[in-house]
Amino acid sequence: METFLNILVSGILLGGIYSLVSIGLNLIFGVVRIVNFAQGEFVMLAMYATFFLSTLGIGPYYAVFVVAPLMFVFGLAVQRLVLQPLQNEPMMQIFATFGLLILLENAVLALTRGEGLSLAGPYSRVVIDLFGLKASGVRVIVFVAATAIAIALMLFLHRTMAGKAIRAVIQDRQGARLMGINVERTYLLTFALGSALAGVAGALLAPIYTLSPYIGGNFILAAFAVVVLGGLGSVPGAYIGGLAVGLMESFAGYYVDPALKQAIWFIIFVAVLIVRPSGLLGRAGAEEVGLRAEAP
Amino acid sequence: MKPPTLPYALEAPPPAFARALAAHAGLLLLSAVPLALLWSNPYWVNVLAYTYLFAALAAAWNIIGGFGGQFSLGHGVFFAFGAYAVARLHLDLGVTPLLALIPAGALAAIVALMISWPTFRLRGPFFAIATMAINEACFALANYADSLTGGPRGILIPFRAGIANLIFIERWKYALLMFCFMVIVVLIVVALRRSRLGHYLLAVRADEDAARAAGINTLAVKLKGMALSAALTGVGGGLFAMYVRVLDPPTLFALPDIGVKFALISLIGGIGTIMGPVVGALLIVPLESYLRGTLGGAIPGGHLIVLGVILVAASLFLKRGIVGGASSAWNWARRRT
Amino acid sequence: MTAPFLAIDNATRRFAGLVAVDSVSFTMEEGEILSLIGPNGAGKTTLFNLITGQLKPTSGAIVFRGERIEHLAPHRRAQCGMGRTFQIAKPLVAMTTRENVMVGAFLRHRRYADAYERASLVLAEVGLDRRAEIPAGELTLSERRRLEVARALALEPSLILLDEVMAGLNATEVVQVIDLIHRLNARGMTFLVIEHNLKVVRTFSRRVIVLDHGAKIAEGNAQDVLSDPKVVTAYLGKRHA
Repeated sequence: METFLNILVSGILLGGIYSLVSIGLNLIFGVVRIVNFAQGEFVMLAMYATFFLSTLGIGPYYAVFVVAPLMFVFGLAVQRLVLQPLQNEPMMQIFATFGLLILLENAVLALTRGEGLSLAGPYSRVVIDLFGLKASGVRVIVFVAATAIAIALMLFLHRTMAGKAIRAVIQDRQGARLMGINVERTYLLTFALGSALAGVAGALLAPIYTLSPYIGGNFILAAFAVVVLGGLGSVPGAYIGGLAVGLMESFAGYYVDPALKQAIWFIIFVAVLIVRPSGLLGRAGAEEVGLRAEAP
Repeated sequence: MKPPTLPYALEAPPPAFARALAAHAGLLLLSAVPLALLWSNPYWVNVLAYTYLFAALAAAWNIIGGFGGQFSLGHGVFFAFGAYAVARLHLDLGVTPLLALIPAGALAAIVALMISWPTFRLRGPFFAIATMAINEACFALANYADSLTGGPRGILIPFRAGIANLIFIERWKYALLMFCFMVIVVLIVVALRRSRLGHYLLAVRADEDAARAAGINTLAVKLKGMALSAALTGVGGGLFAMYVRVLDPPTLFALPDIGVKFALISLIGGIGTIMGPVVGALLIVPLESYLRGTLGGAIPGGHLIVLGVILVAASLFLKRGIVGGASSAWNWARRRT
Repeated sequence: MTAPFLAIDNATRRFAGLVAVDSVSFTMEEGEILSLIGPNGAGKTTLFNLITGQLKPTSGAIVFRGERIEHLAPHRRAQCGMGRTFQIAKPLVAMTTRENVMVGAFLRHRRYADAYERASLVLAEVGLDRRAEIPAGELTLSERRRLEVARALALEPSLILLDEVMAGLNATEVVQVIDLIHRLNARGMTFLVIEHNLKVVRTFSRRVIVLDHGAKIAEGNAQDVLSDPKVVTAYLGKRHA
């Protein structure tokens, strides 16, 4: 029983990580309708930025307030310069974001010469005792942050004018345009916001992982599984999907074989894609918008 | 009811198939010129062997990715199945690789059908994501299935030179072998482009509703295109196996080096064109290996930085590729005169 | 009594609360030209989609040459002898005009040379023979419309459904299309036509069906139907409102 609970807790905490990484990706997908293959590399960049700030004596939980805005600006640049010109060309979007993935990964590799960096400080070893179950403090922080961000984002989308504009664009971009919403600017801001969320994720994950230029690859595949499972374009879907994938990985790792855990959730992921492509909380038909250019 | 017959005379007979074949064979022979010039330089002969192999593999990807418009990032799976099939048949049963290429291609096609039948319900980026996920799942499984793949350490095929083993002491023979493979694949594509299936694949890519209204079973067409594409990719994987003689999962399933590379080469040369993959490979493979040689030591990952920039730039400014761009320029110029 | 060529029996299609086609029934004789008219949003294109299979009816039956077809996929219905055009022309890009038509011709002719020959005949029929070798994406609006017709014609169908093929064409081009329809009809081809231009409808169609809000509100002789006050309010009333 205790083993089970321990796996449960570690699964939920791992799920928090996946949620945190996926929310930005799914926001971008839902609004801009772009699948950003480089989202994992955005997280990786933010992790390195956080590491750099830590060498200046700024801890990761302060660095997040610098890194997130930086990633916001980076996101603005990527959307404006690369993705906006490709708005109606899904195939070229895949090429472009995959190109960014390869570019960022290897640029960081070149800059760091592939040296594994670790930001582990004293706080990395803090263990929180939850009713007799042990949980790593930094992971609990990630989980709390993911939950807070999911709630804040939901409030933002439903309560503020900017959020309502974003939802209008999700539902009907032609209609939104006619209502005087600047669709291109909404895309720009959403992509930047999604990038900033990758920035938050990177800063908070930096104390957990050994930094490597290739770490984005772990995140992006998990995030795709999360987004597909939770529902394409849905914020709560990304949150719940993240937890589900974390739990699956954790239990499969223990009860099946750690070497197969990835294969197992990839199979689940592909199965969900096939059985219910819109995911648990997504809108049916969302999986088809990819190829559908703007409705005439 | 009788189909309506029309009282018009044909203005021109259809262009002869033989002429199309000959024209493309001529172009392909041009791509053998570097091999003729450099055949005694082992470094460049190696590069050319890779170039021809990847030209063929990109041309195979282009069948479903370009003509059919189904953006697969999972062709590494078919490549790996072909490679493992040839290696296992050769090592365990002593089958000559030359013959083993046939079951390798067939196996890759069967795997492709099993994977594609469900995933073809997805469109655009979601099909790409699903195929990428399958690539990663197979990567994990290949690492796990020790008895078949040798696990992470991989399989080593012993060096026993001879045509029956497809293992040669002289490197130029490999380059020639890959060249022949490329010629075969491209000529198959030439035939496909004129066939009913070729027209149907292009129609499916352009507009599935219009294709269905024209009597096309779009799923069946996509499956046929995928099976053909995967079979050729599997054969290419088998040739690769006998060429490198070391098969490990990280090499076979690496996305930037295998699955995505096929798509990249097609993009640079011209997606959905016949000669595009050949032109793309002739540019990209030597460039990459040159950059790897010059930048690799000084800047780790330097050649991939250039590749990433090329990928982004090509998606923005060279959407139709070199062949696509050149052919529309040619059409434009011809109509102006 | 022989079975009708095409019979629509109580066809209904709902979209999440909206009834786009509301128990519509009618029959068609072989060799006739039947026009389907009605204000925008009346469900004409949806009805087309039900007949050719792009959509499945929520309920009701469709019988084509004695066979129930409402469960068949669109490509099967094309094989049964239905050709259609789309309201928004769908030229198949990355192919030439001729190849677009060959896509249709390959349905009945497996060999390249045969499909090529069939496409040449059809292209000459619709007057696109001189544009055969250019990319279909470069055709003008009027040419795209004719290409739609040509691709449908290449299927060698017994029934052709035309969805507003004359919208946006100038007077000369409209006359060309009407001539084409008459020519093909004289050879026994049956037409179901969605058309907005009532003057055009009068010239080629003896029988007319009027849809409004998804339901059939009138059917009969073109002259009578078009002067029916119910039709005038539904159709013209809305237009001038």
